[in-house]
Amino acid sequence: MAEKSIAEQKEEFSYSYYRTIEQFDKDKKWSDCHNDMIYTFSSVISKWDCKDIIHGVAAQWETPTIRDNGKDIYDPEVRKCQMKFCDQAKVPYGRVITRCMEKVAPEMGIDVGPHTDIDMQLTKYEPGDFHSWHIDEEIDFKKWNEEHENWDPEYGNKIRKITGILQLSDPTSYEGGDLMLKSNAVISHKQGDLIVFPSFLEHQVAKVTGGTRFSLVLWHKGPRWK
Amino acid sequence: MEINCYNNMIYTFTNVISESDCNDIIHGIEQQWREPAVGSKQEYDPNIRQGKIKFPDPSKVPHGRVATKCIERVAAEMDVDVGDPLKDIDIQLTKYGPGDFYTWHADANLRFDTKIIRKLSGVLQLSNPTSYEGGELQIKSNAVISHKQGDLTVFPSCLEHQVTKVTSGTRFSLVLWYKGPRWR
Repeated sequence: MAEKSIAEQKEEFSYSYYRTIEQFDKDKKWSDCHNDMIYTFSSVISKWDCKDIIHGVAAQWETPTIRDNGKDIYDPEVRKCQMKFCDQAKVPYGRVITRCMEKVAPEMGIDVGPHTDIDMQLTKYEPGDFHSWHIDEEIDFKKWNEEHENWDPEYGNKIRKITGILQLSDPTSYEGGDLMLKSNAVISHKQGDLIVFPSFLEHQVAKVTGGTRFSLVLWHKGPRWK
Repeated sequence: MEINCYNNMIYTFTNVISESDCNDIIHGIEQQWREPAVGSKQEYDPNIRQGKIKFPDPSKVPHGRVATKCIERVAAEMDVDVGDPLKDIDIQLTKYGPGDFYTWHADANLRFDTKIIRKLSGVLQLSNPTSYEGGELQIKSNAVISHKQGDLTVFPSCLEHQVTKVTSGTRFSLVLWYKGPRWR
């Protein structure tokens, strides 16, 4: 049998294969490590779709900041890489990726409020880049008021509740750069896989020693912990 | 009684009960002292915790209702999901003699996998701080924790805290937990 052309393979495996979100919902299941609240969706998008995302986000690369005592600072000892904040509506296949996040929130028992609000960031780790152990949102019980920069009339505090990391690079194209979580769960590095976990779980990206690793990071925001 | 609050999460109630009330609690609980259990398996581990405890019926703890009222108030102010105050508050009397301690731990972390977990923890200082050395309650934050006899500190159970090693004397404290559905 003749090998399929790239175009044919793409047609078969690309998101466009899922004509509708309903079809995607029916087909796309997660595997989980329930005790640690870590969920993995395998092959959410194809390797071609991954390339579309890497090249399809128009914003400029920026230096990342970290949160330190309530301030955003750049600290290359803690985090070194490049990133772009993305407009969710403009990220290729953004809808399927957010759909995974939406599906898993009730399963985790985490309140993300009545409307989906997901931030997306494209990250690029080149040789020497890393992000040491951290949590995405400090556990904080402060109640914000109208003057706070992230105040939301419907939610009050709107904080990062669930984190998702979509692996965009072929794991053979880079060395190091492992996503690690404080858990015994095995974390997938497969291109097109999405790993979802609560934002309070400690994680890190090990130093990249060769090649370049891209990932799309998502945060599902919601009201403060109750 | 006065209330101080640090960052909406560590609440200190000063002079909740008097010195003689503290002694009523220390001497007024009948059970035998026993070894404390730690971790998800609830086993005794002297590398993690040393000391003695009693688990009384909360309704039989002298002046217990004053302390539980304080913890109820924190639950309301923090707006945290908790259970029924008459059924879901547990109380433990703890005794730390020389050499006793409890290393850094959280009473229940955010990702605890049971449905009902400890949501708020309270520590009522029962001993005069001049009667023992060491035995300091520390909570991972910049908050200053009171060691004054009769003072109660309430904080979310997911915050890490410890009791440093007692080097002399004996420190008694009454520990309270307000349980509720896991963090959502």
